[in-house]
Amino acid sequence: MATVDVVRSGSAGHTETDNYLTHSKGLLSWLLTLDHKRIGVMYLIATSAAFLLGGFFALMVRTELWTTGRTIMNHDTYNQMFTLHGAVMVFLFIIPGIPAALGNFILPIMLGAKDVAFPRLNLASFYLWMMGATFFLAALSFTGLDTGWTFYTPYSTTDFGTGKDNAIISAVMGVFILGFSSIFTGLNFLVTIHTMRPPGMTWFRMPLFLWAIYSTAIIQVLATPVLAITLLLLLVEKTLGFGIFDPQLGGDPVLFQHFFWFYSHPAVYIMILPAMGVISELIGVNCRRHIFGYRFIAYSSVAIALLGFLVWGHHMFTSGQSKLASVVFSAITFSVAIPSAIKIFNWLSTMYKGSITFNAPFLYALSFMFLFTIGGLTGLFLATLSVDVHLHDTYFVVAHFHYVMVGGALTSFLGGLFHWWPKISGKMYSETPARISALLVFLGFNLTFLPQFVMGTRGMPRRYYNYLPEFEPFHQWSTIGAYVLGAGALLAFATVIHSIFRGKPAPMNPWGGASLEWTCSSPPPHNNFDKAPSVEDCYDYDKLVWDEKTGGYLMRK
Amino acid sequence: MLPILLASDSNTDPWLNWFWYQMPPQQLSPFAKGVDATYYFIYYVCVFFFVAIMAAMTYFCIRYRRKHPGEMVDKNAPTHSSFLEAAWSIIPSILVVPMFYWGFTDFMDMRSMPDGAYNIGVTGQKWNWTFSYGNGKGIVGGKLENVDWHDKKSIIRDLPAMHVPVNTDIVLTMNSKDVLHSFYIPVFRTKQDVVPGRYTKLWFRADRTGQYDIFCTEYCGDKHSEMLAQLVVDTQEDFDKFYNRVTNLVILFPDPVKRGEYLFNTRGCSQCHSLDGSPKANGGPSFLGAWGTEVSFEDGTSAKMDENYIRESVVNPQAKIRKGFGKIMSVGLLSKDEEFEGIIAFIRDLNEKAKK
Ligand code: HEC
Ligand SMILES: [Cu+2]
Ligand SMILES: [Cu+2]
Repeated sequence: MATVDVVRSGSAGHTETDNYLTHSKGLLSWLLTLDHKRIGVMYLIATSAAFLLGGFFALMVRTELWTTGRTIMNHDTYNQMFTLHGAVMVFLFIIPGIPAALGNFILPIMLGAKDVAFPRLNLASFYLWMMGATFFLAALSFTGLDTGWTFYTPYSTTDFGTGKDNAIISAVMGVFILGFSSIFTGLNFLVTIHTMRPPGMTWFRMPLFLWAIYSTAIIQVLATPVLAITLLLLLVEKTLGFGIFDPQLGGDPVLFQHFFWFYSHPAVYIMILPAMGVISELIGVNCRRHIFGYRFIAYSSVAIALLGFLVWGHHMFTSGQSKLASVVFSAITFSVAIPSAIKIFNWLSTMYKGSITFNAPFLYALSFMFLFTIGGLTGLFLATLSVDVHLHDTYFVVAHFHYVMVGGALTSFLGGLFHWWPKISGKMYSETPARISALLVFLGFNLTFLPQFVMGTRGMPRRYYNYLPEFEPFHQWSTIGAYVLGAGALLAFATVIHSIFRGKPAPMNPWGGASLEWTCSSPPPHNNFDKAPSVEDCYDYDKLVWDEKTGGYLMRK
Repeated sequence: MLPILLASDSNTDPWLNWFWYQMPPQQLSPFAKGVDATYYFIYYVCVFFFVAIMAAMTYFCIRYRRKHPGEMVDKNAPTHSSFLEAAWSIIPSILVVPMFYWGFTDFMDMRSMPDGAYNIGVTGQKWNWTFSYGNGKGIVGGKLENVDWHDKKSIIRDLPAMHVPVNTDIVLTMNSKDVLHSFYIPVFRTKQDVVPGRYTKLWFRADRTGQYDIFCTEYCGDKHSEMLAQLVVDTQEDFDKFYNRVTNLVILFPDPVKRGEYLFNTRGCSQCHSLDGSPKANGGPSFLGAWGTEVSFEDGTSAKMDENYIRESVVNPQAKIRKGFGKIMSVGLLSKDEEFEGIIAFIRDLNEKAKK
């Protein structure tokens, strides 16, 4: 090894002690920072907190379902619990989790840039998010909203005197503020990727994570305004009494579902595309193999983003929408399945003739492959009109979207967190507990949701407080699984936090990644790179050399 | 003790039973068979791809595991292959075509109402279902109260039961009085949302008698999970008995006054007769305070408003025409004794009410 000529320090050429964490001190230096890395870390803390909160609600729901009849809470509390669980997980964790937290930290460094295009907008988006989150949580808990995260009218707009009357408006307002933060982030990323790529980084030399974030940003910017329109219509109906959604005023309650899913279906891709981007990186690096079919993966991200706008009606096959509309939506939905399948096959081929290491990030990636394949395949049942009529609004749907959202977004969030943690914190986490956490999450997850497929197929409707006694064994397995999953997730966070205090210092490039974030020190200096680095192939691992001494990889000169 | 994961109440093919995604054991309508066939087609395609992908993944993990951190990979391993990529775009695209097609044809079947079907009205209201037979002649409802959720018999006992005759096309015309609900019958593999301010329809034909579950599947608030019902498929004879029982006015309204009021409102009398003392335009006399009075006719005669006069006026309205009114009341609006008993009691009772 000693004969190979290597680059020993980060390309920035700064002193090792100056990094973004030590660059300035004091609480205000964090709260008012314009550094994308610090903003990313703040987002990371906030979204992780939201995840733990949502997870707590999930465990409450599962605990209540341990037996049919009352277990620990009454009808009303149960309904609020699943509403809180869904709303917090979707709007506060899954949507912002990967793009705003990991994306903010990694994206500019991957691009070899000093920061995002609009650092102030970035900070504004964080505070907007905090405002939105506070407002949303307050709205949900003070009004006791129990509509589920879908807020369907007229249940959500009529309340029969319980005082929940305007809950829908404050909740949608909360979602809208959060959405605005999401637009800011999306816009920022779009401009950054367009204008700040370093010399040599053509579109097709960008890491796939960036393609994924780019596609996500398109959706964020285009879909979120629909929320504003919905909010406006709700307000007009409430204050001026125009019948829009309320049948008592001559409105059409099904119209709300169109508006809701016109935003929320694309939002599903806001949740899953970044996850796919993370997985592309994890698989490339840990198989040490040029990602297979790069262009196909990149194009399929964009294809998913665009097609994602045309399928919202597949949530409404039984709503009473016209037969023709249902048929068209079904057909387009099948077409979204293809780009997702392409990705799975490309990742699989990347493993062929690779050199595979089983660190925690890769275990999470494997678990993603397993879970997302099931999630994607079970989507075929739901895209098929006649079969969906049977399965719609049963536990089958619940299981399906958890396989996609949790199996997809959560595993890649945790995988990505472990993967980039040495970069973010400058510390190595300890591998064994991290691997155990991956295993627990995987086992717990399957134990929770596989029985739900069975229940759904056999006709168990979702959002049920009581259920017929024949479903009890399945519910009990599911509840046990949820606790195992919860333990796994807690262990993952504990491992990460433990490393802050006890972790060994991280080398510049612990995994042998070839994209730019691995060419600056861990943690990166305040400016990331003093001058824009030049870029070759970010999936060419041949240029890396293992260095026993630092326990990391070095770049050949 | 831990519940048994694969616990199953079905006695079907043990091979199918082993699989997790098994459809409910009974199929009861023409489209249940089609839905299940499509379902299993998709299921086997999924199992095939899932097993293949996982097998390849496992094999690669073992075969290509890294033995030393410095290990390098074969530089000549391909990084893309137009042939493979075309293959795995095209093959899945072909496989989804039959899924879409079968799903589409069965769906059209479910959503196209047959002609000449037997009609039942369904009303959803927080949190129970009511079924109406013979255009409202018979109403069936019920509510769950104090059930033991671990005892299915106790749940079924209190639930409203929708009776239908076997081997007959049934069309449900459904409406909601408040929020969205959804009417779901797993054995028929069908469901349809029930929307306020709009009528939605659902049809099926049961080819076997028996009793099955019905659920509300659109979240509708607190007791959404208690908005259940039972489907009872009867033989034609049993159904006729059921029909006569629920439409029998004496059973439904033992009190003749109530029965009369019901008839007055549902048999069209209220279109021509008022209850406020003044006659309706192009209609008949008001019934208020009419009982026992002497009424005069076009031909100059008169009679007392009593049981026999009321009965005659309905059986043969043209026999005596009241002064100032036309020959417009139709024949045969009421025919049964219990109906006359009701309407007479109702009209007589109006006098009592007027006095108060
Ligand atoms: C199309 C309008 C119409 C309908 C419907 C109708 N009626 Fe009449 N009814 C009349 C008219 C007009 C008269 C007066 C002329 C007559 O005696 O035929 C009348 C007279 C009567 C009388 C005699 C009252 C009197 O003061 O002399 C009775 C009793 C009566 N109707 C009962 C009924 C009942 C019971 C029904 C419902 C089952 C009914 N009607 C439905 C138009 C109607
Ligand atoms: Cu969707
Ligand atoms: Cu309901």
